[in-house]
Amino acid sequence: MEYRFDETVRYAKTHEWVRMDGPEAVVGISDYAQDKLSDVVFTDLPAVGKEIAKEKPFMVIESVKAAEDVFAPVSGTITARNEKLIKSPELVNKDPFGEGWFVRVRLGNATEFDSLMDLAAYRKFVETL
Amino acid sequence: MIDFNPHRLVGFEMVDQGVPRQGYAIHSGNRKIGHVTTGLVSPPTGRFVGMGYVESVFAEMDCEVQVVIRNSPKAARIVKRPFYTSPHWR
Repeated sequence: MEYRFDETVRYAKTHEWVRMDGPEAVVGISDYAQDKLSDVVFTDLPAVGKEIAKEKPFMVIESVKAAEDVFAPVSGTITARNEKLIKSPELVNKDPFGEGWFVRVRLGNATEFDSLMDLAAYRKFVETL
Repeated sequence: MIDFNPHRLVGFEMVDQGVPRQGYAIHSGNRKIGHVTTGLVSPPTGRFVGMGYVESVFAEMDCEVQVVIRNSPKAARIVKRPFYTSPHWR
């Protein structure tokens, strides 16, 4: 199985991705993660304004198989969430790097983004799993 | 001994968003009245449904209860089973 990757984002070991968009970061999960979860049926998105801390769970994603915590790849404050996922959680499976984004975050610490894996490193990491 | 407070198996549908799962508590107000035996997203309707045992006084159609999902009570109501009848059923 060939997984899709995106070269414009950075990745965390827990399979979340982060894309910088101006001063804010967009967060989602990788194609590998959505494939392992199977069909996503519900995303328990956090409220706008919530503070999240790197490597701490900040929301839950439920698939037909499991309910899993999503770990914050960066620290900061939630500025927006993808309301489309409430009606159409399957967007996470269809387009994990695009329409299936979860939240936008105002970063608390810009250096955290730089410490995440780039595409080459993440691709290698997935191959070892 | 007579059980004055028997539990009955009922079907319920979530009013709030959330997937009920086996083992979750069912509350009425702040009191536990039963537990979920199975829960899922119904594939044909996309609704969050489940079954569980509740005290028999709550086993009435449209009775409003809460399912405790990750420590937060989410509204649900008792519905009639079957949840869904296939149009192809013969």
